[in-house]
Amino acid sequence: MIEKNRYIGQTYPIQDAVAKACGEQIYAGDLKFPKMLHAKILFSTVAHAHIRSIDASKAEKLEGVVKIFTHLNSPEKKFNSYHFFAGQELKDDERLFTDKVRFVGDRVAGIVAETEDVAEKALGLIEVEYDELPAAVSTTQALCGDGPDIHEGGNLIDEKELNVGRANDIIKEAPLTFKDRVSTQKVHHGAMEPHVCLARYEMPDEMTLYTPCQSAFAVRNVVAQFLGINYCSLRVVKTTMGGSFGGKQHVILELIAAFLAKETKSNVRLCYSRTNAILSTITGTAMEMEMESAVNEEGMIVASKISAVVDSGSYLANSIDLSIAAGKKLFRTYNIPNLNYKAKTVYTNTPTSGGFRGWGAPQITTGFELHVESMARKLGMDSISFRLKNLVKPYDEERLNRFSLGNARIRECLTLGAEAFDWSKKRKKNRKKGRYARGTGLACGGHVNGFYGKIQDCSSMILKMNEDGSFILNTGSHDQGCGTVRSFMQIVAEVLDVDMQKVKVLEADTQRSPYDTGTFASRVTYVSGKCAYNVSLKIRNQILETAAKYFNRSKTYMAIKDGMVHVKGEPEKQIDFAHLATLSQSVYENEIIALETYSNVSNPGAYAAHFAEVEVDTQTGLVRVIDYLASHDVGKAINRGMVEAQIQGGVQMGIGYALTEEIKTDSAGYPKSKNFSDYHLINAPDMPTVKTLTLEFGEDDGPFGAKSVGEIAIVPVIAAVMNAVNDALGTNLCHAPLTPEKIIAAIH
Amino acid sequence: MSNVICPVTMDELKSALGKTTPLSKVLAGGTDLMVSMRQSRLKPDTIVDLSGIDALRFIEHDSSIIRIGALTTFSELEKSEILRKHAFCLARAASQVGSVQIRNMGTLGGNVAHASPAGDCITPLTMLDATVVVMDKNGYHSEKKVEDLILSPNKTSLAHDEVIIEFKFKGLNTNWRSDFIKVGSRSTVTISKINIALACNVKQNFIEDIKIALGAVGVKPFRDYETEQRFREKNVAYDSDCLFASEIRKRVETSIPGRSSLSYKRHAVEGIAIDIFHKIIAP
Amino acid sequence: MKLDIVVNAKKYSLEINPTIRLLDILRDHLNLTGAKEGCGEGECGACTVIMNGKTVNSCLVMASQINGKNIQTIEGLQNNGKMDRLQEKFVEHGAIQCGFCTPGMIMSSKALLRENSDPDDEAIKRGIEGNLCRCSGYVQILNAVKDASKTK
Repeated sequence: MIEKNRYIGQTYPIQDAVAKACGEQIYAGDLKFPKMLHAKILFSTVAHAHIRSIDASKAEKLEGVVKIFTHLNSPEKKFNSYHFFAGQELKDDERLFTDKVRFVGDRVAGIVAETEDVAEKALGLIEVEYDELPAAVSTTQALCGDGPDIHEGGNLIDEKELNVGRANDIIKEAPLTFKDRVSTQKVHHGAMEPHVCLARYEMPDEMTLYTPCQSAFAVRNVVAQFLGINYCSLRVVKTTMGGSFGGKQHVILELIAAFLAKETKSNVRLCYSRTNAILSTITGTAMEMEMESAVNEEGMIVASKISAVVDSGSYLANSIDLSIAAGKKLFRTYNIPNLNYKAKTVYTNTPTSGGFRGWGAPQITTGFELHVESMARKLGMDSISFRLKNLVKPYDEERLNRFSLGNARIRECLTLGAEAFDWSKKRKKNRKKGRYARGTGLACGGHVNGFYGKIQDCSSMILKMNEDGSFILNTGSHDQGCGTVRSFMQIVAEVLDVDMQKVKVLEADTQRSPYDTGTFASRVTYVSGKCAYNVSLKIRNQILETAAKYFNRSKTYMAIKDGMVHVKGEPEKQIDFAHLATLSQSVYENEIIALETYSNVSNPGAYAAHFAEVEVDTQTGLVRVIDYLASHDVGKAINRGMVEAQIQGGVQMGIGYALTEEIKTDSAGYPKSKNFSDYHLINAPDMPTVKTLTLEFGEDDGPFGAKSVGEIAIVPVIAAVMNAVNDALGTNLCHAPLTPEKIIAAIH
Repeated sequence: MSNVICPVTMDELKSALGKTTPLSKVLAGGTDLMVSMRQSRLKPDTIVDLSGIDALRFIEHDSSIIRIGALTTFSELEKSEILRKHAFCLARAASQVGSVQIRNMGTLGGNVAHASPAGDCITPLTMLDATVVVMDKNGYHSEKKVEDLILSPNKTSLAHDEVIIEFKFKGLNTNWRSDFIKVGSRSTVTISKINIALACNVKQNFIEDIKIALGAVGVKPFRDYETEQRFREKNVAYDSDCLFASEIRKRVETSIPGRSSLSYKRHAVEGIAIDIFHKIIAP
Repeated sequence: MKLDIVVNAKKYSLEINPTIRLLDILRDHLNLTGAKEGCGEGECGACTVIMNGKTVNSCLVMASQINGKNIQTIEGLQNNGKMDRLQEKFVEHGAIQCGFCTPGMIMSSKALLRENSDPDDEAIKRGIEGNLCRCSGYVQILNAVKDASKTK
């Protein structure tokens, strides 16, 4: 049908780039409503305690305070911020305002006031008395300590096991086994826009929530369920997203703001500070992993067993799901015939874990890639050839669920990436023996394309043609700031062969858009993009049918070119889209409109191999990443420039993850990283120029052969950097992040 | 709401200081105060905003004394030709404070009055043996050494009705070289975990004179007189670096004994000591 | 207190609480929401504006400090509805993703180019050291600034 792509594979700025460059794009925090009240939350200052008493009377007397809510006058009912679709089974363990605080940053009270200033003042007037309990700030303390349970039922929330073959027996009997312990830390997403939600109360009992979210339908699901509002009466509008990376995936502020708005029958704005965003939303999950593998004489990994401990933090959110997801992701990159994965999920008195870019994959990949590298080192094998003996091949079956991994090109990522990075030369280069140690590291990683095989994974879209031949694609999708809308514009314009500026894409609005599962699991381009593709095909067909009617010829004689339909072989017989649309409406009284509901049909792997060169100052322990290449199996790049930029962003986040970023608490659970002054993101001077290699081998079910890239971009980074540091120093440092302090302790 | 007084002249400043109480605060650039007011919900009864007093923005050099007005910003210090020539270490320290935006607002007076143990400019000022000129509400000027003004972390001897108006120190002669190096957790926009300021007069491997100060390894930056003494009037070679570094390391070890950060800082300080040694003592 | 300021070449006389932040004046009083609050303590640079020719974190500037000052925000960069060339280059090079850091990033770059019309990579990186971007690896931003410096 399409000979040469007009839009797909080109580079375009994000759709709203001009408004953003001019400071005119409106984010949720920029919105104002008449008679808008401001909410502030009082957060716990201790890590574990029963609230003995809470007295808000002084605060209530402050002029301008409208109402204050605590555990005493708010529902006892519990919720789970990850309850993102109806019918999902999940334990609810979190209250709006708690009577027992479980970490520093837990919600104790909510204040609604006429101004932010008054609300802030009122915070200081609420008197809380705590009966403090010992805090368990590590999973070991939570499991082995004699402190009180964080929730009823104990600190061990769940244990899961995934198994293929006889890994345990084989490892017991194998002559050659290797063992490593790796851990990854709690991290902050660091989206530049802190969390915010505006609830607009509408008489008599309806509400609109404006929120930068990853799923408006998830927000509706949690809020409407909890507050007992009809789904039809709760409108959730996704606003321009100032970055999320999983951080705005959970429904937290929306529920609080909606509750406060409903109770006060007012418009309420709730905006978190950076500190609140770091501590009191969700964090990237910390995991400890013990890895043991048996390798045969040919260098094949014949069996691996992994036991993991997942730190859920103080509430459950999605940690059990993550513990399984992380395990499953192990099966995507290496073809290991016997694999056993066990995970414990544990409550601790630390900030709650939740969604984060790669969700389980950065953790498990860091664990396994450090393990693979340490095995290669001990075996005296080359990093690349050892991996090539064990990596999956195109159309291999993932051994756990027997899904096809699709056109899995991790091998090409590795070999072509190594070539582009000049790996073997860099690897052999004499390391400067002296203060500055140089080293190289690489890592492979695999990720998903949606939820297929696990839970619902569908998108609906409505595409219609306007009287002037322009199009509106109504979606329930959410651009996270990486150009999803632009990609959809490209897809529609490509299929319809029309000027891209004549395609408008709408994002999620629960009262006006069709349903979409949301931005999770790297599903947007692969699943929703395919939906956009399919609905465009439907409209293309309707256009051809309408033209056939007009020209009184068979549809098969109709052809579309650049916004016109003509009769094949009779070039003078042509009609442009505008005339055709007008004709359809005014004469045939038919709207050119189509609805498509697309459910994902496969779950191929998205892959990447990353290569890092670092220089370590052995005196100060500071690491500089001096060269970096990210080689990706993207199927097909829809918007090339954005794909590259997104990969580079993943690397930036991953370097921070590997070296500097950590939400730390002291032994009493008091957080040590509360803002960007003590939670260091990698800034421009410390960032190498990341080179990207986008490999396009196509993928059967993706739109134009595309597959996911947003999450896989971070997956191998941490291990690549850590492997490079270990190469430079001759160490086997396995506990991220590799801070100067850890490095110095290891080498001196 | 805090009462804000914005004096423009020195006379207005005097009367403004007269209106302060122990709960009042003086705002210079604001880059520290604004953060602490927000973090601790600190609400001073009165804020004396100095930013309109142009008379406190200057860098002057006469008869070997350099005088710097308290409101001189880090950006101005960084670019000052006078400092580049006669107190390079101070220009360098200023150039490594925060980000461009912070350096455009933050002032030398504010840096010292805030008295953070990691305050970057305090180390070179200590090394240069700088004097602080303080003015009280009566317009009375008193002088103190920087290291005497700072008592402990975030605490100075300044009374609420006193304000730093200028710094004075003897500029380094052109046969001196000086520099400042810090280590944080990033290469820029980072708080010092440790820093060093050094000035020396070296002639053909002979150290005629040397001054060293260390920062972020104790309650306040301090002079390392022992190392100075060990190396003053001594010959050094390129490979004296380790000896030099281990001497400085000893000072760190005695300065923060038993502190958990010591195991890191004792090595890091050797690193920056070696760096600065090769930069200015024996290149 | 009474403040006389010039914002984006427009004079304003405001009666204002002197302890509020410049950022709040811009956003709440003048409805200039281009400057964003990302951290509230001068670490992220999303609130960067130019005051008397120098970039500042508007979250760290108190109202009383701006009396008589000339302030330029992202909204004041356009000239008769035409984007400044830096803005054009940011768009052209794909230096914008979520866009939350963009206004501050552009203002820092603007001030940098005013001081140094031909910055090398290192100078650009130092120029935006106080502006965090979480979406990119700064590559497109660097390219945009470099390109803008060349096409005068």
